[in-house]
Amino acid sequence: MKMKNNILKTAIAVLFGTFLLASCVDDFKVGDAFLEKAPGVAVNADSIFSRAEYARAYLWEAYNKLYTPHNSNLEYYTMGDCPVDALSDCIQSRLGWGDMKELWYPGNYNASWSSGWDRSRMDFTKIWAPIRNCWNFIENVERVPDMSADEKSRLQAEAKILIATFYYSLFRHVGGLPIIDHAYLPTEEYNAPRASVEETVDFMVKLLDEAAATPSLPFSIPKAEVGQWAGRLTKGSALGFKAKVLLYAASPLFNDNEPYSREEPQDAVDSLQVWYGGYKPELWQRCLEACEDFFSQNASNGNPFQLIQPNGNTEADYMAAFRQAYWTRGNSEKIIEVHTRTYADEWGDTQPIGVMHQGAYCPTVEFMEMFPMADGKNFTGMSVYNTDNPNNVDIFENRDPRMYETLLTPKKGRRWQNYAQIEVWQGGNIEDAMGWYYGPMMGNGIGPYKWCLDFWNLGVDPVQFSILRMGEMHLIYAEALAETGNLTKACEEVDKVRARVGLGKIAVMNPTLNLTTNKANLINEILRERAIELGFEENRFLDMCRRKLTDKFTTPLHGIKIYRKDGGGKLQEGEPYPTAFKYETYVYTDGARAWWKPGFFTPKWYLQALPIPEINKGYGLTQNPGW
Amino acid sequence: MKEKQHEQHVGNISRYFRQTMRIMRLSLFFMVVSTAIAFSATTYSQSTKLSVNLRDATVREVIEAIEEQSEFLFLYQEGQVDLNRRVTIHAEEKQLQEILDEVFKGTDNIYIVSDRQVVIGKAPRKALEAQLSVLQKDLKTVIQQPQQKEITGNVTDSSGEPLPGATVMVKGTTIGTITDADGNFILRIPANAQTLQVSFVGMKTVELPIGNQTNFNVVLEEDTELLDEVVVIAYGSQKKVTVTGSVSNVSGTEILKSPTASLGNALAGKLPGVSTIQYSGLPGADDPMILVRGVASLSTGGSAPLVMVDGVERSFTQIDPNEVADITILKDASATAVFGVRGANGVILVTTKRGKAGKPQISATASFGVQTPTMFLDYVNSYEYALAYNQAQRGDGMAENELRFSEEAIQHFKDGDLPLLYPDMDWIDYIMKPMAPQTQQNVNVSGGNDRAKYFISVGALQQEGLFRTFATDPDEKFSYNRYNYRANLDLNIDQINSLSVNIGGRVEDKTSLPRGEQSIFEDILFASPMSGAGIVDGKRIVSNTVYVGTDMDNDPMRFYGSGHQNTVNNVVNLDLIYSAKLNMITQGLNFKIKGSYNSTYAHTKKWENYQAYPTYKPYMLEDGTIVFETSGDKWKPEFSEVTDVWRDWYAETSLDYARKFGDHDVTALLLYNQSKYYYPWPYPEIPRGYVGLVGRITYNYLSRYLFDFNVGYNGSENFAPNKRYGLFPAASIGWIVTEEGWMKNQNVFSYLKLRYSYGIVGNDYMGGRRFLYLPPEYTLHEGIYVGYGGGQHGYNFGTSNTVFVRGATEDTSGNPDVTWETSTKQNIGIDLRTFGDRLNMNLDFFKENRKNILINNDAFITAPSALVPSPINYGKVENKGLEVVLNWTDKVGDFTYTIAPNFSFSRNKVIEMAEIRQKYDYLYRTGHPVNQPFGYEFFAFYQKGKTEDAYKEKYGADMPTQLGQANLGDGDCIYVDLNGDGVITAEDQHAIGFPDYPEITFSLTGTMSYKNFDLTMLWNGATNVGRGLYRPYNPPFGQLHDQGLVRWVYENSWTPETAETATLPRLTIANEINNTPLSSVWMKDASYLRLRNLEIGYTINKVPFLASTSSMRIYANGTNLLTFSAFKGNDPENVGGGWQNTIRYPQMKVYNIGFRINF
Repeated sequence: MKMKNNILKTAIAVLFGTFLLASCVDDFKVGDAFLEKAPGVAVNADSIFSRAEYARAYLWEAYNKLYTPHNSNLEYYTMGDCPVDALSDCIQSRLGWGDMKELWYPGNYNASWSSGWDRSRMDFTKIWAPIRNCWNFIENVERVPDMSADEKSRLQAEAKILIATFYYSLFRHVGGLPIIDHAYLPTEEYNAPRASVEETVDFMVKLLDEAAATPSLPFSIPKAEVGQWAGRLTKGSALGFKAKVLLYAASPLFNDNEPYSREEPQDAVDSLQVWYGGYKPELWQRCLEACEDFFSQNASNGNPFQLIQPNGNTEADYMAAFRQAYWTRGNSEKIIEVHTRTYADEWGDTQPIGVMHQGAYCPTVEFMEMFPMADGKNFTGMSVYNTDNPNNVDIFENRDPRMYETLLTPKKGRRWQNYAQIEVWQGGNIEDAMGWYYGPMMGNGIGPYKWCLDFWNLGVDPVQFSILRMGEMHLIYAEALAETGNLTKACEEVDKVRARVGLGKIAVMNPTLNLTTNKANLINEILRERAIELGFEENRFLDMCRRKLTDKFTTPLHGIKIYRKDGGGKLQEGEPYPTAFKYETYVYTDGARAWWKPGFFTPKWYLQALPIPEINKGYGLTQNPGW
Repeated sequence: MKEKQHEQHVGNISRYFRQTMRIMRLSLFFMVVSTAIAFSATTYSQSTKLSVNLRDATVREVIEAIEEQSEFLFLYQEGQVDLNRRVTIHAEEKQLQEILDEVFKGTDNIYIVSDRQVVIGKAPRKALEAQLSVLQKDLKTVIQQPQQKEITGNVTDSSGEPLPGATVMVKGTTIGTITDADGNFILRIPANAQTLQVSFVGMKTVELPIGNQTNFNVVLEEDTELLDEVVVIAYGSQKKVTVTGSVSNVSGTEILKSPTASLGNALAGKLPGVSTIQYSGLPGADDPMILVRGVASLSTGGSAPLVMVDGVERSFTQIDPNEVADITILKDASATAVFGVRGANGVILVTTKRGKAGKPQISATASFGVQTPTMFLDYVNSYEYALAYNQAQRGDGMAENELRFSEEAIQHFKDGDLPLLYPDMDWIDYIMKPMAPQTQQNVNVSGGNDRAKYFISVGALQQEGLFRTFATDPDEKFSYNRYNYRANLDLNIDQINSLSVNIGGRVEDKTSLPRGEQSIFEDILFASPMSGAGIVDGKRIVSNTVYVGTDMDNDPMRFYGSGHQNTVNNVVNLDLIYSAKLNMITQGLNFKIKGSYNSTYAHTKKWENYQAYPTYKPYMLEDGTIVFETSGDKWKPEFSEVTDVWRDWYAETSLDYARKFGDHDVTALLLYNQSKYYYPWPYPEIPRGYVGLVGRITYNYLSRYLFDFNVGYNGSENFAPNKRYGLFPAASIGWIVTEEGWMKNQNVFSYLKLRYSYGIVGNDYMGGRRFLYLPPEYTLHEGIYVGYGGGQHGYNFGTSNTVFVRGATEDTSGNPDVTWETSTKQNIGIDLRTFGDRLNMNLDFFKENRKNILINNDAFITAPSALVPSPINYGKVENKGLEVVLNWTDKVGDFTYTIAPNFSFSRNKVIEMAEIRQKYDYLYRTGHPVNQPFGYEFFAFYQKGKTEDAYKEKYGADMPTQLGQANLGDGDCIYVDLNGDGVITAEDQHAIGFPDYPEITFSLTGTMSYKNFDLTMLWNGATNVGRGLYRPYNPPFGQLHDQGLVRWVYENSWTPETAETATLPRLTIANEINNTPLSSVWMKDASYLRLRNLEIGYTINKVPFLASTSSMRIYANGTNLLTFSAFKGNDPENVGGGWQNTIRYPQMKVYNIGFRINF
């Protein structure tokens, strides 16, 4: 007995001693109770929808993933940091690590690059998470106790517009998509195979119609709220975006008597996932109606959406107006804008500024030629290339002010950083001014200017991209008018955009094109106008695809070298701006495109490949023709 | 001592002694001494008075009662005594004989009392007497014979401690004696006696020629090979002979032979079935990845073994090796089942040293070593670089005037005449010293008496890094200092209660550069030789691209002047163990309770200079003078500090039972434990907990048939309450064949055991994720200020807000049904000794089937559903292999040697994994080993015209369009079109080479000793291991074409001249896309053979000039001294694989000298 007592005493002492170490700070539990503690502070779906503030935050997260080709939170800017328009005739990328030079220009892209590596333009897998975010929001926001019914329906409408934008950003690159109309539960059977083009378009339109029909969704952000809320989606956004979606749908890529490609596999063609199955003129009519609906509702709401107009009629005024139109936030030009950054920074951003140094945005001669003369006549200076330029034509003089805002070209009196006169020619001071990035950025002879300016005058202007702005809205309307036969009115719409930068009326200034009667010419002019108005805004490659402009893909592109005719280099102190230049154009050899080789380019390139692993999952995703 | 003798109720007299050898030398001492006394005066049985009052008790109970109150020990032959016969005895203060007479009255049993031994048998008495004489012979007691000569002597163990009770005999006779309490003996022997034989339990028997010598000082060495060796097992220890699981161990002495800072690296090659892969040699961060029996889960991370130090989960790699008594690896289910959920990947048990009774023993060690890289990357110089680059550009069809390096530059690189303008730097040589010192010291004291024992140790390690300190800040380097301490105390409070206290800990003092190992090595390894001129007169000279070529100015000196950081890491481990013998409840029952507390406190101070020193860019003026353009400025370093704390505690309470019932030997264990870890990622506020219930029963019959049953019942927080607990049983059986009667007459095998185990163990670990069962979790992100770049969450509404509104994300998706990953393990083993105990062999075959592997269901989620992946139990992996351990020990005169090769093989195969449907069978990962590399099948280096024909000839199809068809040139890789569609795409990749953990490891240990010299060497190798080469080998000039060119790549790349012998494609920039992807060209065999350790030592037993020392040893040893590998570009373990796994600090070779003094 005595011993037993000792044991007990010692055991108690030891137990006590041991757990004193731990229990002075921790609870002491044994067995299952020991494990019971799960995270008590975890936020779950219930807590998100228990307060208006949290629920809103959940929707703002979907805004965070809005499509932008620039620095983005959804990593849309793939292709190894190259802009997609580097596949168009406007830009030839010289970016050392970019996928243009490695993958696309040599023609190495194939279906195996469509996932895993961020090398294709649109990774098929990226849009779905924000779409799920929106559906989750739409389905659950009703539960939020401290939010008004009006706000709930407004936010639901915004979520629907967001879904439509996500869909569109992928639809234009691959065609029909699976229709995701709710948030899947982990236990739920997946049942959304690839839908047809028609179903996909109708799905986007339906979402936009529903949003537009929501009474609590304002037509535009009221002036007083712009400082705080610019960037929110509105009824105007829904109506305008509908027109943009329908423009793509009505374009010949999908809307033609023939599918765009007859290459194998043809499953997607047979199932109408990459076309409408025939030409449907009513699609243009729908696009037209959408435009008219937008403009008439805009008018009845007091025209909150308007083209930014110049303050005067000097070139500087026009350039300033144009810059405000594409860049500045919250003004009347913007129908849908993306706010993923607070301001532009030369070294903090990759796209577009950071890679402009590296030559990702080198403009082609073909692009430069698209800019008309200041009076509105089309450019005709090609005849002096590679000649002695006997008449001393300065091809960069008197051009569309938008060209000076878009491209860094020779121009008398042009400032660049601390240079009062920047000399954009071989041997000029541009080489000193730019230092190491002269080579990559100016390798083609002229450089980009839009978005990067001279890198010093970026200011703190924060917007970097608009998904839709009034300049484009008028051009969509013009195209729909032209396609539905109203050529005169189409010209008027184009002229509205040109007038902002002081250009003369398109039909008047280019009488030989017979634009009020020749529809084909007018469509070409609208596409050219789109290319320059929306230059570096991710438009041209898509236009080339939707309009099936094979020749633009297969014609070799040119760079230019500008020489002072007197053989001089930098201007000496007091020396006047030179008056005579020679222009030497050349076909790119560095980064020559396989598409330029005869027989290489086929229409399969209009739509991209879908990822093999997703197709292999066997839920009804088909591969696009030719891939 | 009464205690001990209870286990001697064994009938088989001939086996009597083996059973008693309980290795507790102390108890043995008492026993033998008492035996010796008995022979001088056999009075015990007469003087001892016993009281036995039992009614209707069995004979067994009577015997037990007598043993209980006396020192008598009963011996009887099986079947000769009816122990269950019932008798009634009333005896008060009687002599033994009186009681026994009454007990055996009327039976044919008789007994003989010989001092404390009571032998019971059957008449006739003669047979019994004969048995007694056998017993006495076994006891090696003295049967005096006429003597002519008296010899004296002293017997000690290797540490100089006297050995009482050692047997001293004249070989071949029955003349002998045993030593007294001071280890001395006196013996009269015949004049013609030849050889003296000295033996002691647990020691190697020594034979000495007698000659004319009359005084003998005999030193006996421990014999670890004896049957009575004990091995550490889960929650206890077990005699090695009766172990039925798969267990291997290495002693602290062996570990000390590797002068590595991390204990993990000291294990390399020493344990069969354990592979270590060391990726980095950074001081203080060079722990290897350790795998037990390879990989059996779907990732190497999910295959990490459980590590326990003194029975508590703790890291072991930074413990002072002088503190370690033993490291044991538990491999099969039988050995690991009790760890339940944690045991699936094997268990490493580290046991620290404890005191032994005896006078204090002090041991002091100091060593000094030099570390130098085993082998590291070598880069081409500027001249070679420029030529190679231009050649690549020419190959790409570039015009002469567009080449990156001008003729002028190339000439200057060659001449080295303008090193500032045209530098030629070997950056590794420049930044890293060829060698750095490493020193280690330890002093430990141990000793005690039968009441208290202690082991106290203090140690230190100083490891310098290889970085040169260019800056004025002398701490701008990598270095590691470690101070270890330990006190292990054992107290016997009384006969019943005992208490142990372990206090162990260390202070680690680590100095490093704030930019971190990986980024610094990337800078160094990716810099081109002309990218800067280093530090000249305190100025950081960068290159001017005007001279050295476009973009060639990314020097690696960004770390220069960037400051340093110092981390002091304080680790304290405490154990308190109380145990009690519960003999009053039933014999052999023990109770134990243990509490442990571990705490880690890390304090990091950082002085970081974001804008370090200005850079100087050289220009040469027309008159030839060189001027510098300065850019940047020197700022003051910014100071910041951060502290991290972790703590955890562990508690266990157990009952264990061990007892013999006649021929039946039974042990049992019941144990409950729980542990809690504070501040674990990713919920620092919620401690991580485990609870477990452990059961074990072992049984053996005659030590011949062995049976073990182990079970663990564990709970993990990762699973929902109804899925939380798992039961993990394992059973094993063993058969010691040599114990069978029919084996007694053979002399091929002195020992042969067959064993088999089968069991289930579990795993709950999934990449550190916790609470896998919880419903989807969201995160609310704070609205933040975002300067430029994208705001990760929320949105920037408005026109000039600099703040983002807050966002919220859906982050995880739980699965309430998720539960254990289980592993069914089987092991068949054979242990044998043959050639007169000289050859020892262990053979193990194992097979493991892992199922319900914890993975994310990514592969099953369709992209459009956008479900957040959730954990599921899916996937099956099979892993099987074998281990062979051989040990040949022999002695030729004074020359003793051991040769011990071992070989381990393990091959795993994914039976099922989450994999989407593939178009072709060869695209499936399923069916291959875990982490199997996939790549293109290389056909040939392209030679226009020839290759097309060769391809057609071999495959009967046109050469397919290659990945970089547009720029295809001579010397490019041509891949095989596996699916026959005429184009090389991702669908033409298949399994190539081996994963980066080895399938086969082997080693050979050789030890030799001659008189006072000894030598140990360990060769260790690995094969069936591969590495896919990317950076910095591939692409050769780096992704941006401005990085250093590895000499091995340069020398093996295709050129028109080396077309026949080249093993790598041509250097090209334009067609990199074709040559860079993983293919059989870049998949390299990373097999190696290393001289892992070599130690040569000399021991002086009595140091003449230091009277107080008992021995002194001086030694020289080294690690990684020689390396042979098929891959010549770098150290085979430091190869780097894949994009994440880049090359880091090189592996070290260490040359070390040291001494040890024992007092």
